[in-house]
Amino acid sequence: MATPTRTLTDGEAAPLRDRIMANPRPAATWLAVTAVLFALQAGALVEFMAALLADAAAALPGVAVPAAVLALERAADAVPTLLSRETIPNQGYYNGSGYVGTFLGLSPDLAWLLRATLIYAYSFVTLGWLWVGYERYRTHYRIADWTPRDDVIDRFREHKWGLFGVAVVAMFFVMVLFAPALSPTTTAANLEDPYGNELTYWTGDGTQTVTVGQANLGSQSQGTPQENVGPMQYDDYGRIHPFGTLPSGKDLFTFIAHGSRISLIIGLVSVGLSVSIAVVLALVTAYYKGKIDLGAVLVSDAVMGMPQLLLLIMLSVILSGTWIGKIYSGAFVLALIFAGTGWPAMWRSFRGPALQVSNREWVDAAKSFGQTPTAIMRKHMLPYITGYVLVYGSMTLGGAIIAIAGLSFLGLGVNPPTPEWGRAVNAGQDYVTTASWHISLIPGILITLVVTGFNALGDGVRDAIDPESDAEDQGGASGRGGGA
Amino acid sequence: MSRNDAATESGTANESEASRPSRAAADSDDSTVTADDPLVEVRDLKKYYDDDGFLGDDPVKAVDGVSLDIRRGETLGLVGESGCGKTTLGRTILGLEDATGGEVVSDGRNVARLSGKQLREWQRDAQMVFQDPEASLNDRMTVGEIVREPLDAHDWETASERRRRVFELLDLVGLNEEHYYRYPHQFSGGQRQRVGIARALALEPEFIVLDEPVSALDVSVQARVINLLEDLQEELGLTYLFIAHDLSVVRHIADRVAVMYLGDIVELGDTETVYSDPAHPYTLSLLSAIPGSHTGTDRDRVTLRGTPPSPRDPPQGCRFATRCPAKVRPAEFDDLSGTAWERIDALHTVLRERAHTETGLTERLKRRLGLAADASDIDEVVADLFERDSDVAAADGSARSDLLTESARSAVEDAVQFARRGEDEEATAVLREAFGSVCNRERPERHAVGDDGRVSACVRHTDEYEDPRSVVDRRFGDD
Ligand code: SF4
Repeated sequence: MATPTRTLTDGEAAPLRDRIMANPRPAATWLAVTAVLFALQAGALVEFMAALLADAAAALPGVAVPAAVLALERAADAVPTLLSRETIPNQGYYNGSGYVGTFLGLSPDLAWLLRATLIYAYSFVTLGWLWVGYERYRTHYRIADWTPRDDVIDRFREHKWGLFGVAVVAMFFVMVLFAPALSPTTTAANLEDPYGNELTYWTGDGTQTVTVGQANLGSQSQGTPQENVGPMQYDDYGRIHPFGTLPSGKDLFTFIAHGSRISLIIGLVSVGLSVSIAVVLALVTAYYKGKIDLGAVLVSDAVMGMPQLLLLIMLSVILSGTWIGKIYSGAFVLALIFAGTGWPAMWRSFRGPALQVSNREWVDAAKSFGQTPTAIMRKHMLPYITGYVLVYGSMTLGGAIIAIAGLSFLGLGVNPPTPEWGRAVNAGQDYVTTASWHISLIPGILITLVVTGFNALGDGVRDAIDPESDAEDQGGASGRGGGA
Repeated sequence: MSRNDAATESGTANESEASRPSRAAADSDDSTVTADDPLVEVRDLKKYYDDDGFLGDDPVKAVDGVSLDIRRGETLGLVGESGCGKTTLGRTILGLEDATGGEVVSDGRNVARLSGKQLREWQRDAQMVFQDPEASLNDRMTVGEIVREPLDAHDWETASERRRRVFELLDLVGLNEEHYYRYPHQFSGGQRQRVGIARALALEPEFIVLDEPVSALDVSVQARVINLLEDLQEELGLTYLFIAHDLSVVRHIADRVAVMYLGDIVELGDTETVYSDPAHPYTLSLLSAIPGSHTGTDRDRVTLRGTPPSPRDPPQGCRFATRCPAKVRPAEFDDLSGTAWERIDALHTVLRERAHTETGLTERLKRRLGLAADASDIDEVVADLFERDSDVAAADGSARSDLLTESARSAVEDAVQFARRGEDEEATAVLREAFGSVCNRERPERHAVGDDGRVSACVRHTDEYEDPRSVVDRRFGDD
């Protein structure tokens, strides 16, 4: 009797690898397609990582960026990427009879549009394929035929508003990830070092070469119909500007695409930090209750009592000269301040659910057989608040993005030349009623859209985890956005 | 951990693994459990909750001076109304609650004071099965993970050994291997409770506290779970503390039964004798509440009146005095009818409740300032109790009945006077003074009843007073 039991149990408990070996087809086809999809755009992913790494290295005080990192960045550029500026170029010039240097000789606007469309199409296909992978796992390899998370996922799939949020957030992430490939030009050439780069253009009776800086002077958007390059318009130098140009003549789309990286990084760092603090604190206070809880209430009240805006202004002024203030053009300090002032509201939001779970009987049961407090918090409490973490995290992320934009608008946030959405709004505010309305309006709309997307995502997750709740509690997100 | 201990004690680990079940089996084979082999000794155990201490309120005395032995291999039933502290007693014995006072001794260890490694050892030896299998199983974990968790927490053997053990346990409680990967949601209540039992058995405990393990289940399922528990006890030589408010279940499974009222044990003895011949007035009324129970003479009318008083402020003297059907009455009121006593007790309860519920801050302030509210309330209560009784009114035609004798009425009037001024404390004292007896003054000791080691905490077991049973028969038996 012992032997069959044994083989059966071993078969039941086989690791995933063995289960795939037993039925390799679905996994193999899925992996093959994934590999192809990844290979197509590997360069863009490596570029993103390398850029992050280089930024991080540059952020360290008094240290030159290590050669290895620079080499990696160069290597990343060399990785062949299908949907890149190199394979589908939009920068070319008219030579009297046709376009030189653009993709298949298309006009620059069509070439750019094609590339952007392909990148978004690729991204959504990849996302869809990941979903297919999850479903294959669920039907072919997962032993449990049902888990509580299945219900949550099914409910989320029914949630239109939440799906809208997912779509918006996904588009935002695609912009962050593929910023260089989406932009009609590069940050190096257009924003950072315009006089070190040149371009060729058609003067009407021949081609000529000027520096980008000079060209930018001729493509400024200053509010008059003569001096304005609006959305999807060409400037005098044959360059396409999908979102028009800034008052300085630089390309607004490039500015926004790269600015999305800053927004997201500040958002992620600040939300990540404050969420971590809040979660750990919520678990500990809910588990031990009593004096620890009271202490946390007092500290969080004290922190919440401080005027966040004032603190931001003071600290960013004080720290602006120091090394920490220079990291990421001041963005890092902002993230830290957001995290330092944001955790109490977040903790307040997690505390209720955490207390509720800590009173559940299974926590008692775990105590009764001597489970350790950390394991109880991790296994029996944390899974019940991760939903709230997603909800408030995503809403606060939206809040952080708005707050950074607001600060940059006031001239306090991220310093030039690092692009930031709020600065674009600020730059265009004098031209809102003129021909150059696009400078403020487009980034403004995008900010609103992204923040709405994150909030919608949060709403969807909340309704999915807790179908009964119809509370209109928006947590700290709205307060945060309004505060800054 | 246990391996090392075993190695030093008996040479090989195998030997010690094997020794526990065999020893236990020997105990259970031997049906006459020796009285002087207690597994757990509880001595004067107290557990007070002092949660909202801001107003200086009295603590909730959930367990107040309990002493009992749990013998190796037996099933000790623990019964009582909800809120009497039986669950707290079970939890405090396990060390899930810190005892306020007293001790719990097992194998020479004072469990109530253990910490660190020794506490963990006790937590291996003693387990709990919870009342609500829905709430006591984490529904984000698979059944396998749930049953495995105690093993993981105590670093039991190797990972594959643990998995094998879980399958073994699932089999033991009547579940299948395929249940390993299912979630609690996919199970019926009975199956979930089996999972809870498997988890409790994982670490090979000797002692299990079963906290109303079947009361959340369908009646049809209850019997099967009870049978499972009995089989497991026999097979593994377990000792059970079976907490329940369902008296018939306890009668079925328990060897001995302890009856708990308001934080203390009032009667403790062999199940059959307690059920067939209850000694304590509380047990008597509790048992007569079971429909169709034939525990001797006709005692249909001995129903429990009202609800137990708050454990924040238990009555002085006998805990059960406020509701006792056999309460000793002062001789000078011998001529009062049963109804009259019922009404007086009811008034007493109302005054007590008033004295203890209206302790909100504003209410206290009002009293300080002499602004007693509710003066009219008490008049209405008195009218309801003593003046508007339809039976009595019909009998003599006047509004003012002679339900009470002259002296009784004046005592009631005195008390009501105080109550009108909001001095409920004093009003209660007056009533207690006038109608109280030894039951209100002394906390009764335990007296041996019969010759099988039964004890009951009631003054009526002394020679001085009439036996509770005959009193109840006299007062309620012949109507
Ligand atoms: S001591 Fe008095 S009140 Fe208590 S149970 Fe015995 S008779 Fe009843």
